[in-house]
Amino acid sequence: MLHPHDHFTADSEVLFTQLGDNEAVLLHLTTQYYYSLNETGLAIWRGVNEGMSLGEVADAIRSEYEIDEAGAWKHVSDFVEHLKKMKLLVEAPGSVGSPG
Amino acid sequence: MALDAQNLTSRWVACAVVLESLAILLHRHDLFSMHAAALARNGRGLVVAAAADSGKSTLTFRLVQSGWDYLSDDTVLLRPSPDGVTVLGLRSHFSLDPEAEELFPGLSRGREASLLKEEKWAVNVEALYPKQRIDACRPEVLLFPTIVDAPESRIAPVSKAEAIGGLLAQSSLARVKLDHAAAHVDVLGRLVRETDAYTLYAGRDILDDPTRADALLAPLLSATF
Repeated sequence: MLHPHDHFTADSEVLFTQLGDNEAVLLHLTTQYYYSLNETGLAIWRGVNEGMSLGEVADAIRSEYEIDEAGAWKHVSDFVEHLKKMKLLVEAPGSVGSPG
Repeated sequence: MALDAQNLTSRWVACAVVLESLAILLHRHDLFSMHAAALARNGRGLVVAAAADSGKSTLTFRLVQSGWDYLSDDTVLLRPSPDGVTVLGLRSHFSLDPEAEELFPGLSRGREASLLKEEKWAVNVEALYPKQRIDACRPEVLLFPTIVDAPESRIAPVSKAEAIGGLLAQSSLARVKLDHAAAHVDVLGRLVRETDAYTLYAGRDILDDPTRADALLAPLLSATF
């Protein structure tokens, strides 16, 4: 189960390429799996990979898209969980589940 | 490995090794290979990306017959620059089924010895259409052809995400180093950003009507004005 203090980062085998202002794709070189990011997905991906905690990303999403706190957290945590299962995101060393 | 000229498997493996080695060397010069055909009409480029046996060579030859310039029916190089991605032809001989001569009478005049596939003809198209071979073009349209069992062909736009998926499927990324792969994906992303992309559902009319491919595809390039 994910926690708002958790930090994630892109797997070292993942390549990111932007296709437009609000569209991008991720490619995992080993699995050859590729994943398309829409505007919201791209915002979450950027936040996570800029070092924000999941809670901070959810706050940014809530502010940007005017959704409630619970909705924003569900959106972010479901999405990150999915990317984690696809091995596109991995837990950042020493930060997962740790409040500080 | 000894190269036995009479042994198809040996020849295939040898050619694959040479091509992979060439691809790695080309990466060092910012050239990225892709399994695709490329043509140009009035200087405006079309890249046709698809797996083997998708009708890519037949479609390309049809367009050459209609006066399009060509770079390759099978393998191209992508060269990024600040102005955009340029496509270069890598293999100029076309690989066509012998049955294609029914569609293209006179095809055998360009036939030469094939290195890779005995069941295919290597056709020197430059000998048949000497003024239509070009070295480079700037692509404006990406096309992903697929053969359908239908009398009429049709074209449908595809999203940029689908387009890069189609290009990735025709690019050998996993066999090179990560930094090379990153540069390769970056070029594919740029190519997708700089072009419009379509799927061609190729029906029987492409085979039956020599002018059909040109009639379908020329407006895609014109429409980008």
